[in-house]
This record gives sequence, C-alpha cells and structure tokens, in this order.
Amino acid sequence: MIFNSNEFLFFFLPVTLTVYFLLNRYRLTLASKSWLVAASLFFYSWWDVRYLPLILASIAFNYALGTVLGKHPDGRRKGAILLFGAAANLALLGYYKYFNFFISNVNGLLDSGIPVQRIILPLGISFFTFTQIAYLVDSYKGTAREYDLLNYGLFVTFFPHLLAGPIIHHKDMMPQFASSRKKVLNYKNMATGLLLLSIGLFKKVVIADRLSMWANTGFGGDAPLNMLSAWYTSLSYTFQIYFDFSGYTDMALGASLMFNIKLPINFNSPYKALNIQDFWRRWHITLSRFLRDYIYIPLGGNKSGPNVTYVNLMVTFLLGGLWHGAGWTFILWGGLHGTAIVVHRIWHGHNIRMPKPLAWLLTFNFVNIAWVFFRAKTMQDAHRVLAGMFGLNGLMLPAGFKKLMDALSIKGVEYGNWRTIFDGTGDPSFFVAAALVFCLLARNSNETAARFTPDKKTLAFALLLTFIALTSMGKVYEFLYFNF
Amino acid sequence: MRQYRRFAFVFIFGVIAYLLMNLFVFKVWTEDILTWNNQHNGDEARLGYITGSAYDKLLVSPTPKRHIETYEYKGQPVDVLTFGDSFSNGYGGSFYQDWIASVDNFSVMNVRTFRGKGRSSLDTMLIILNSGYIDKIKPRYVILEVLERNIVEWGSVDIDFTITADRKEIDAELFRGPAKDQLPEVKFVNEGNMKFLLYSLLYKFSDNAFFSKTC
Repeated sequence: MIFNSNEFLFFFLPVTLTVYFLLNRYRLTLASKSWLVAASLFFYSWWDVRYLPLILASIAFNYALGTVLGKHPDGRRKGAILLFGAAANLALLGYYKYFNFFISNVNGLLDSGIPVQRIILPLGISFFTFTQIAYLVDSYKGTAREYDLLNYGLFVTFFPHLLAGPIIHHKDMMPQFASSRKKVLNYKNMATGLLLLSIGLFKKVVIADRLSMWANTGFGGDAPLNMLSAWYTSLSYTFQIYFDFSGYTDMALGASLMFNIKLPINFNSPYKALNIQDFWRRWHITLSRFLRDYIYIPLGGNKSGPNVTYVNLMVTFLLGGLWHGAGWTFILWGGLHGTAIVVHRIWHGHNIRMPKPLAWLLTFNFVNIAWVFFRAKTMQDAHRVLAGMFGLNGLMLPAGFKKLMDALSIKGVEYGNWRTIFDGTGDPSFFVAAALVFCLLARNSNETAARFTPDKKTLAFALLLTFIALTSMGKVYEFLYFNF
Repeated sequence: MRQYRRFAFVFIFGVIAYLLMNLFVFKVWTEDILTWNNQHNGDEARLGYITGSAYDKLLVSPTPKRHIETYEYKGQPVDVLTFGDSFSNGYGGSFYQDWIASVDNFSVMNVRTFRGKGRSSLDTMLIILNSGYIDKIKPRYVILEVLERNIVEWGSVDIDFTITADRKEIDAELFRGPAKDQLPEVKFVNEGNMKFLLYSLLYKFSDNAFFSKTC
C-alpha cells in the first residue's frame, strides 16, 4: 500500500488510528501494540503477501541475534556474532537486490551465460535491512536493549517508515512507543500530522508526478536531445526526485505524528546547499547519518590522515550509490558524489572562499548533472542526455529569440520549436522554473510544521492542497480509445 | 489545544464533504460519460462534459463477422493474426479483419491488448510471441496496426523485446472468455467532476466553455 492511494487515505489510516486510540483509551496497551503491528504487516502485505514470511523471518532472526548480543559479555565472540548478523542481513539484501547484477557482470566478463533469475525486489527491503543492521550494531555497543518481540516487531514494521524510511534507530523510537503520554489522542499532533500529510500528498501527486512526465519523456526516448530539452529533462528529474521523496517523507512524518510518534526529518531544503557536504546534511539525512555511523566511522573516519580519509569517503559513497540500486550508473553516481566530497575537503583545507551565488550554482549543477546517472537506465541513456546538456547536439532557441539574437545563427544556433520531444505533455518551462523558485525561497515542510498555528488561513491552505491532490489522483481520459 | 482540535475536525469534515460532493457529481452526472457503463456515449458528451447530449449510438457493420477473437480459438488454422488499438478492436462498429476474411478468404484472428499498466498492442504482440503462442498458432501473417499519431511515440521509447507474461494470465484474459475492454479505472473523486462543474457554469457564457475540448 502506498500513502498516495485511496485505500491508505480513506480506509487504512482512519481505521488504524481509530482502533489504536480506542484500545489505548481502555488501557489495552498490549492489544494496541499488537494492533499496530498487525496493521503494519497488513500494510506491507497489500503489495504482495508472498513477502510477508520474509520480513517476519528477518524480524525473528534479528530479534534473536540482538537478544544474544545484548546479553553476551564483550569479547571477540560477541564481535563474531555481530559480523554474522550483519553478513546474514547483507546476504538477504544481496540476493534480492544484487544477485542478477552480479550474474550479468560475471556473464559480461567471462561470457559464462549463467541465466539470470526472476527475482522481484521485496518492497522496503533496503530500509528494513539497514534499520535492523543498525539495531544489531547498537545492541553490540549496548545502546539498544530489547527483550520483547512485540516491541521489536513494532519498531521494525511501524508502517509510516517501513517502505521508504526515514531510517530509524531503536533508541529514538522505543521510548516513544513506551511512553504512556503518547498513547492518548493529541490534537496538536493530529492537526500537525494532517497538515504534513496534505503538504506531502500535494508534493507527490501534483508536483512530482507532473514533473515525471517530462523526465520520463526525455530519459525514455532514443532520439538525440537538443540543449534546452536535455536541460529541462535533467532539471525535471532533479525536482521530481526531491518532491517525490520529500513528499513521501512528509506523509510518513505526518502519519506517524498522528500516532504521537516523531520520526526523524529526512530533508531540509537540500537544493539550498552551498557545497556538497552541506547538500548531504540536507538530503536523505537519515541515510547520510547511517552511512557515516555504520560505514565511514567504522572504516576509521578521518583519524588516519587525509589520504585514508579520502579513501574512506570514496568507499562510503560508492557503497551509498550501490545501496540505491544495482547498476553501474548508481555506483558512478555514488563515485561522483564521493569525489565531490573529497574535492570539497581539499578546497576547504586551503580555506578558499567562494561567493555564495557561485557556490550555490556549482553545487546545484553538480547535483543536477549527477542525477542524470542516477535516473538513466544505462550509461548510453546518461550519455545521450549529457551530450544534449553540453551542446553536442546543437542549440535550438525558441523562434521568438530569432529577432533578438539572429547573429548567433552563424555560430550554428537554430530557432524553432525546441520542445518537440515534449509534445503532448505540455511545456516544462514554467513548472521547472516554479519548482526552482519554490525550492530556493519557500519554507520547507518541517519549517512549516514547526511554525504551524491552527488558524483559518492554514486550514484553507491545507484543505486546498488536499482537494487539488485528491482530484489529481483521479485521472480521467476523455479520449475514450487512448489506451487501446 | 482547542484550536488544534477544531482544526483537525474542520479539516476532516472538509475532506469528507469534498468526497461526498464528488460522489454525488459522479453518480448523478459524470459516471455515465467517463466510465464504460455507457460505452455508446458520443464524443461531444465525453469531451465537453455535456451530459445532456449523451445518446446511444447504433453501430452497424458493413461486413458479416468472419474473423475470430482469441476466446473463440479452438486450435483451428489461422492465416492472419492482428494486433492493434481501437481501430483493430471494432470500436467504430466494424472490423477491418472481417473485410480481409471476406475478400481474401483468410482466416483471421484478432488479439486484443493484454492488459497491464502502460502495455500497448506492440507489447501484446511481443508477449504473445515470447510466450510461445505464435509458435502454437502458426499464422502466415501478423498485422500490427497503430494510429499514425501514435507511431512517433512508439518509435521513440525503449522497446522491451524480451517482455513476457505468465501463460496462465494470458489464457485467463485472452483465451478463456470474451476479452473485456475497459476504460482505465475511474475513481469517484476525479478531475472530470471538477471539469463538469466548471464547464456547466461556463457554457452559459461560451459555446465551448472557453477551454473545453469541444469546438
């Protein structure tokens, strides 16, 4: 089940909330917890019930191992148990997410012809695997103790974070689930949650889905892209992924807040970043924190001199890239960001200052160009879009520019309809420009929620966003035969 | 806290009111023109949201039905297999396949689009090919029809030549009973309801409601 579906908004969420608070009202704490776990598993199984045993087995395995780690005295054997647990989790993730990638690379190298498997990636496996690896590490360190399977199950399956994060920590969540004050309906949290839910729904359904049309068109075809089309393609995706993911996270935070559970924020206006380190402190914050705490620091962090630090950073970002998807484009994307972080460190070490507008322009464009590799299905697709962006397929300006800039014709600039590739999907110019202005000037959802006062203006704003989003979710096709 | 309580209640009641309003408009006016319930509605009713001009079309075929659909296939020889969009599926009231069957005395079987999000008749043809049906049916010719306005769109996307599907699903949908062509699912909260209300108001001032799709 996804958040932007009628089933979730009008059935699952209201029913789960009502029953949860009713049970708590009658002090049936165990029943309310069980209800939330059962509802979360139902939420997960809605997509494909065949993967329910997988997540249940994963929970049972990690709970058992966490209990052993928590009770085991420190020593090499405890380290071996942790290693075994982490390896088992990674093996599960590796099989579902990376097995075919591995086989196709072996086939490419050795011409071995090993058949690839029909493996469907279970929803949310990357997130619940990382959440549980973090739990094992915390159990090893002694910062997480959980001897109740139901509590542990709730920690892993709590539906707002289950499919797409934020990645949570046991020590942040369990005190909230245990607090008796959190079991009473809190209208402030309910109202703030509704506001976040409406903002997230609007960002996902109205903005991101609209931008996806241009991104899909540009990345999907085989035809060469002219410069403007290529830039609009990449920018559409740059904003699509932000509004999509941050919108989904807003909905997760909002839904969770209705249960009086605060999830960690995941986005903090990332496109306002003035350098790449700043970007990673604002983008997918919980993943960045996970990579820092569970990969970069265990590798040694910055304790062994600059060269080792650079290697550690590169390894962290390459693995971060691979976590996002099984493909060389993702690894390259991670490598690009790792390189940028290393360059930033060297630059920062020399204490050279850059004017803020230039710093923003460089950072934003780097991120935008790197997203091309993230979005492209193949290196050829990425090359096709980048070739257009860097002018290798020529520049075509709108016909209206001919009078103003006719002298450029000598340089090979053409004038005409530059956006033929987007025919049938509308003009991306206004939408992309509006998205940029919004990202740079508007308050983000967390800031809006923090300043939230329940006045008529905010109510009208939230209702309007919801009405537009709900209406946009119900697409109709007046051209009856369009799909046949 | 009372302010927050009022906010939450008004918000929830506002959303419920909006849902009910949509349900009312949908059930009373737009369901007939946007869904398959009344498939013979005219274009004007559908494109312009003019429910008053909805009528039942009388569809007449100039040739007798001589082709077969997949659900009528019982292993008989098939010379021509056809795939395509509405033009191939008889939405104008007749089938070009009947013309071929009548004039050239071919046995013709039409394969309707195998459903699934984003699947086209090209995908259907590849699925039928990759799932072994072409080898089984052994047609002499395969016709893939596409409207001219769609050919660029088809040619400019990645074609997955390896696409396939579960044979049980294909059998169930295409070979076990009359294929049910359906419009994409329309939810009762939809943009059509808003267009209907807006256009109904604007028709008072303009014959095409200023920006409806009717001329």
